[in-house]
Amino acid sequence: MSALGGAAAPIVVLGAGGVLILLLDLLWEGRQTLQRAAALIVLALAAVSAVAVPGFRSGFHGAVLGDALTTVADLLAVAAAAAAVVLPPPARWGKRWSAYLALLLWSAAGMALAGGAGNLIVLFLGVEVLSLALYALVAFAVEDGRAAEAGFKYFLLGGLGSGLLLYGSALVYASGGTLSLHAATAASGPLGVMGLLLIVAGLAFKLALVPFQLWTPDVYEGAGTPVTAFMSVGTKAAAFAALARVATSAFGRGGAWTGTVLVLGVLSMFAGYLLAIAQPGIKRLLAFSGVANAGTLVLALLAPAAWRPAAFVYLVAYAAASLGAFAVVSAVEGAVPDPAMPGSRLRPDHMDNLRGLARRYPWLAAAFIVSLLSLASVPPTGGFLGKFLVLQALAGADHPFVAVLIVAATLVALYPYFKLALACLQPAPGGGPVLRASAGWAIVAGVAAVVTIAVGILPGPVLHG
Amino acid sequence: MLTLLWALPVAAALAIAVSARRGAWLGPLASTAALVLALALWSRAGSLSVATPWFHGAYGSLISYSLGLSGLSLLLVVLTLLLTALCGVAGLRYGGAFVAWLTLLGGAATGMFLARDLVLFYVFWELMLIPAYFLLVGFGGAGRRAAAWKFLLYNIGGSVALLVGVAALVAFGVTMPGVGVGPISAAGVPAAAVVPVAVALAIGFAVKTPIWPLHGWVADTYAELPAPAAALVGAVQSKAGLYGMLAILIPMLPGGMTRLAPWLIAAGIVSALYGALCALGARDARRVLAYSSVSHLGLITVAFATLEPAALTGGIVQMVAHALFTAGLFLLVGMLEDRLAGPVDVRALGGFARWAPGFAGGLILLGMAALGLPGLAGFPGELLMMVGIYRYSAWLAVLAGIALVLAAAYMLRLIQLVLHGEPQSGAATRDLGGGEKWLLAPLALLVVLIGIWPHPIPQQSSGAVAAIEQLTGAQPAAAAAGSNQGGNG
Repeated sequence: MSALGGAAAPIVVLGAGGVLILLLDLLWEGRQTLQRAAALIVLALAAVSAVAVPGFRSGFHGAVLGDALTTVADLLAVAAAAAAVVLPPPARWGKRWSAYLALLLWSAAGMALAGGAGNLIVLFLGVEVLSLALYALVAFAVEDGRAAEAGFKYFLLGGLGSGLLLYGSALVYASGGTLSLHAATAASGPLGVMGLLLIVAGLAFKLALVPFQLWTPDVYEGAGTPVTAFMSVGTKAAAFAALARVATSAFGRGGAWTGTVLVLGVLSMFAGYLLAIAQPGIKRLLAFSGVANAGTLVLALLAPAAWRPAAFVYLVAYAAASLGAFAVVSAVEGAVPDPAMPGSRLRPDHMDNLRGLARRYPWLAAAFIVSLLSLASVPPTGGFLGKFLVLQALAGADHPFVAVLIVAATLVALYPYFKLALACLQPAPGGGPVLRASAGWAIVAGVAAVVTIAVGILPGPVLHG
Repeated sequence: MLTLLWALPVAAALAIAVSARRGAWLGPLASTAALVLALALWSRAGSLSVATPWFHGAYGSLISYSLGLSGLSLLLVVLTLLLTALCGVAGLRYGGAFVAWLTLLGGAATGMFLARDLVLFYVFWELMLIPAYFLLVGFGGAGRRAAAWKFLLYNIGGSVALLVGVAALVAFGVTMPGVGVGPISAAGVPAAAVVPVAVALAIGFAVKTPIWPLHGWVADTYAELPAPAAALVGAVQSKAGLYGMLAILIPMLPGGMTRLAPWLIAAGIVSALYGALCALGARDARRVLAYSSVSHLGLITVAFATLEPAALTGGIVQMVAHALFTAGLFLLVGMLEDRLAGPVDVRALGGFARWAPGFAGGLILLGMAALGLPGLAGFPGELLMMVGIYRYSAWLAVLAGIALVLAAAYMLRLIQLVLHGEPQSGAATRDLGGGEKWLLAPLALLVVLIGIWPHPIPQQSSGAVAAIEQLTGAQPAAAAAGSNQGGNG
């Protein structure tokens, strides 16, 4: 196993699982529950293989890496896919259910591949696999004009990002003669630096860092909420893992690196939070929140000796909070809206639809508020601990000024998150939304809230991968 | 054992939440149980501690779950739990959710006063903020939304400044002083970072206290919160900042503190005077009390920043006294508001002494304590603070004296306008009922007791004062003072 690389096991499981789901559709056509269960079993196997396959080390001559970073990226991709399977789908999806599940699994396979990539070709392959499946997923409800538009937009801009990544890889190969991220390829000379910048730009598209974030709000809004939840976590984790590998390779020691990361991170943080303030739609707000969180996470890479534990906790906490928040969005979106609220007629994810939630569904509102507090980095949640570790890492790495900037951005972030929390607590004239009966969102929101608190109180298992 | 002190109230708060808010009485009960436990530990202060590793942060720093019961902690914990229990009883009629948040606030404050690890301290510090915010949003008066945003922005602004300071201290490997032990040296902090880190910490503490010019949230918050919550926030949460100065800023960054001292003294004295003037002009009784707090707490900040032993001791005594009479006054004003069904506009009232002698007696007793009448709790602390401040600088003592005179003026104005004169908003009002009297009795009793026999407070806090004295004695504490200083440094 070790010769081939145990690290590839989750990728194989996920890819084969997708094919299996399609085959099972012949037997179980239209039987959602069975197909869902099969997909969850595949995901569970992938999670087990990511953690427990013996000889879990790099394989394929270093092309696939199996370290703690891979494990975190794999597990987050699996968790995000599981959430997308469990969340109730928009009503129109019923017929193509198996295709949806297969695309989810393949996209997760791409995320696992990109998260563990040891050279630039594998990285490109992973990014393409995850993106191609996602383009289709975003446009899945193709009869819905907004979904089709979102899918097309994502396809065009995502294709541009992939192109930059590929072109950057070619330039790096031309300048250094190798594609390995593992080998100490010094990105020297104008060609190398150019290549590095293009690779970073390509990954920044996937992470949705400013100024490569333009697609994010529209795509998050247009896609079905389970898909949005999935991509907000899985894509970011995989792209961050890839970026971190670039940072830890010889590129990271180049002079261009620090400046690039600094600009991308700081811009994303402030633009993300500031733009989130003005959003009436929850999905757009969370899209900008994702932009800002990715920015903060990237800044952690400026502390070369200490970013790992900080980034792991930050990523896991962000993932839990994001999945929890999107679960509540999916619940509210599918609900019968309060007829007395003007905004609810404009769009299903309008903030007004949250009103009355705390009165009618106190536990769901509590889980939502836990997620929001974590995103706003208030203790005792995982979001706080992640931010604290990032600050501590930067304070000790001669970047105290960056730490101060992160803190300033956190202050800006209060407004959007507390605005959402406040909306749930307000009474609604008509009593608030009446949710469709489904256990899906309750499970995802509940598990996410428990994980969020658990990471904040007992971060031990997450800290070191 | 120490864990129980904060975990009992927190567990009670969760239990109330889970029991669908029916078990509200659990809150005061658990606070009382924790209070009894704290009192049982009275003689063991300075020797109790708990420490288990929590997790490893960046650069191998160990973050531990570490609690310790120093004399100073014990005083503040007893005070917090007593007020949590009393305010919980007073808040029962607002329903289970109110008592749950209130009890959670008390538990978090208790944990903060016990924490002996910087990160743990910060976690409890922020945990205090969430209940206060939800109390304000959920149960506040008509202007609660604006007040809540103001509260949140100021307080989280202060908190994140504190967070930067804490992260830096942890990254430099500085740990919090243990129980009754001398402070740990701050040698790990590079010289260039000492002042910025100290400034970050000071901003965090100054917002919470609050000290001018960071006091903007306080009047609205205290005016909008329901009276029992205002009593707890005004009495206990305001002590968090002062405690932070004593437990973190001074012992961990003595060099930074001496550099900052003149600025803190200036801000504190401006607070003392400005707060008093605002209190003199305010119409709403809640705002009189809010600004009176700004004034008192500003003076305590001045006392701490002089680093004179007498002033430090006096400041600690005054912290305890201020909590007692502030909580009592907020509760009293709240009871009056219930009868008037609206805010207490001091200029539109009068003659209450005739209708409500019990109420009048309470207001006079607590008001006199607030203005520092000898024999009541406000006096010993004020006297010691003035001695210490005078030793630091006579001119500063003159300014502080003016603040004290103004305190007498605004308190007497409040008493006079509410109690005496012609009754204006006519209706005969019920006097305090039996339950209300029992609620205030412990506070009144303690106010008298501390006025007559304040000794136990300096006795418990002597360890903290001695440690600070030992630490700063070697440094030119008053070097930057400028004006004609008397005494020996």
